Amino acid sequence: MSDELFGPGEPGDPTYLKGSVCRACGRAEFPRRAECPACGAESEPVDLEGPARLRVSSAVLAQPPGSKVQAPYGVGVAEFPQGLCVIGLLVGEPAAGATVEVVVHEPYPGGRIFAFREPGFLPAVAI
Amino acid sequence: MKDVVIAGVGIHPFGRFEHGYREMGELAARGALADASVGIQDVDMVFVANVGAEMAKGHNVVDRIGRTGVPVINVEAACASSGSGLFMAAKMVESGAADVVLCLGVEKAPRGFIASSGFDQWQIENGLGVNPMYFAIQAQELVAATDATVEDLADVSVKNHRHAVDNPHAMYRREVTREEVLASKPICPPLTLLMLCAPNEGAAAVVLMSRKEAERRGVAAPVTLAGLGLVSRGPDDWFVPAPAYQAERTSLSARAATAALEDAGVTVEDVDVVECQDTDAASELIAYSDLGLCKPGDEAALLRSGATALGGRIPVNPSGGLLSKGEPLGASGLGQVHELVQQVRGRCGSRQVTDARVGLGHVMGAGHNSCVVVVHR
Ligand SMILES: [Zn+2]
Repeated sequence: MSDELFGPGEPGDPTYLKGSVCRACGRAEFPRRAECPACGAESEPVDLEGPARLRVSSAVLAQPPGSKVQAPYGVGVAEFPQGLCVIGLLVGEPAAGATVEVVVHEPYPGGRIFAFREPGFLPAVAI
Repeated sequence: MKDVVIAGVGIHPFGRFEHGYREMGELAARGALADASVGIQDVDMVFVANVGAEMAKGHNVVDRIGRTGVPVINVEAACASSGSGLFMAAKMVESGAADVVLCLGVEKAPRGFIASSGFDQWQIENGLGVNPMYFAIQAQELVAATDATVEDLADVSVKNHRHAVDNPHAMYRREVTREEVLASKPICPPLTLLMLCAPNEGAAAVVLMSRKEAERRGVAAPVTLAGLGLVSRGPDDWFVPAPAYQAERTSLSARAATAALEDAGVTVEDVDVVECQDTDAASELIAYSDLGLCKPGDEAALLRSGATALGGRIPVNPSGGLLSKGEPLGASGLGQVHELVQQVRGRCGSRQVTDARVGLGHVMGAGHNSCVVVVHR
C-alpha cells in the first residue's frame, strides 16, 4: 500500500505523495485517481512534494483502536501548492503555519508511512 | 414535502443498558405507535436505521411487535442513518406508496472510540483513522479562521450540559463548568473529553402518515414534516474518513439545510429551535453558520450572545445535544426529531422553548452525508 501512497526512501529521507491532477478542472486528489471525482475527466499523476504549509497542527493523545502507532503522537494537515490539504503524521512538533516537507517515516518498528517535517529538523539524540 | 405528518414519536433513553438493541428498538417503536394511536397492523412499511448491529436488524426488532408481512427495510449511513431512513419513509408517504410508515433508529454502540468509520487499513495502522482527530482539525481551522477560542468550545459543552439537566432521556444530566471542560482529559488538541460526545445506546422512532390519513384517524397532535434535505459527498466536501481535502471546501450541512428549508417553504428566520450534530463542541459552532443561524465568522459571537441557550433567540440543542445525550449512531437523528416534535407540541416542561412553532434538526455522518429536517406545528 505504501508504494501507492508515497515515493521511495529510507526513514528520514525526503519523498513525495503520489497524487493526481484533473486535466480538465485542475482539482488535485490524494491518493491518486485515474479520473477526476468531480468532473469525470482524465487525471494525470502528480508528485506532491512541497514545500507545503502546515495548516493544522494537532495530536492524538489517547490510543486509538487498530493503530500500531503508540499515542501520544503528532498529526497535522499540510496544504500543498496544488490546493490540496493532506492529513498526516508529524515529525517533531511543527506549529501551524510552518513550512513542511514530506518525508518517509517509521512510526512503529518496521512501519513505513509518509509524514510532515520542517526542513532541517534534527531529531533529539539520546546521549 | 407535501402533506406528510409525524403522527407519533417514541424514544428509548440514550445511555448504557443491560438489554440489547432489540428491546430498545421495541420500546421506542411501541412508544411511537401508541403516541400515534395506531397498532403495528396499521403500518404499511417500516424503515430501520442502524449502524453496528447484526444482519436483518430491523426485522428482528419488528418481530417482537408483530408479524404483519409488510416490508421492513434497513438503512445505514453512519451518523445520518436515521435521517436517511426518515427521508425514505417520508418520500414513501409523500408519493402515496404508503399511508402509515414506522421509522425507527436504534443503536447499541461499544464504549470508547468508534472502531471503524470507513477508514482504509493504512490510515488505521498508522494512527490516522481517528474520528476525534477529524473533529480536532475542524476545530483548529475554526479557531484559526474566526475569533472562536478554546474557551468558546468549552462553553458549548457547558451550555448543552446545562440543557440536559432537565432531559430524562439524556445520558449525562449534570452541569459542568468551563474549567472542568478545559481540565478534562485531552484527546486531540484543542478537544478535551468533555468537548466530545460519547457513542452509546438508545433508540427513537416516528410514525409518519399522509395528512389525509392522519385526519381520517383523528390523530391528536400531528406535526408537519415540512422539509427534508439529504446530501452526500460532493467534489469539494470533506469529512471522515477522507485523508485529504480541497483548500477551498464546501459544506454538506449547508447544502442539506438549504434544501430542507426550501422544501419546507420557510427561511431560517422562521426557525424557533434547532437540534444539531454536536459530535464535538466545534461542530456545533460550525453548524451555526452552516445552517444559516449566523454568518461565517460570527459563530462564537452568536454563542456568547446567549442566543443559542434556552431562553435565547434561537436555542440550539435544548435536549442537551449529543454532548450530553451521547450518540447512538443509528438513533441520533430521530432522537433530535423526537425532541423537536415535543418542543413544537409544547411538551418539554422546564426545557421548553417558549412558543416553539418551527424546529430544525441536523445530522452529519462519516462517509460524507448530512440530513436536515424541518418540522412545524
Ligand atoms: Zn475534474
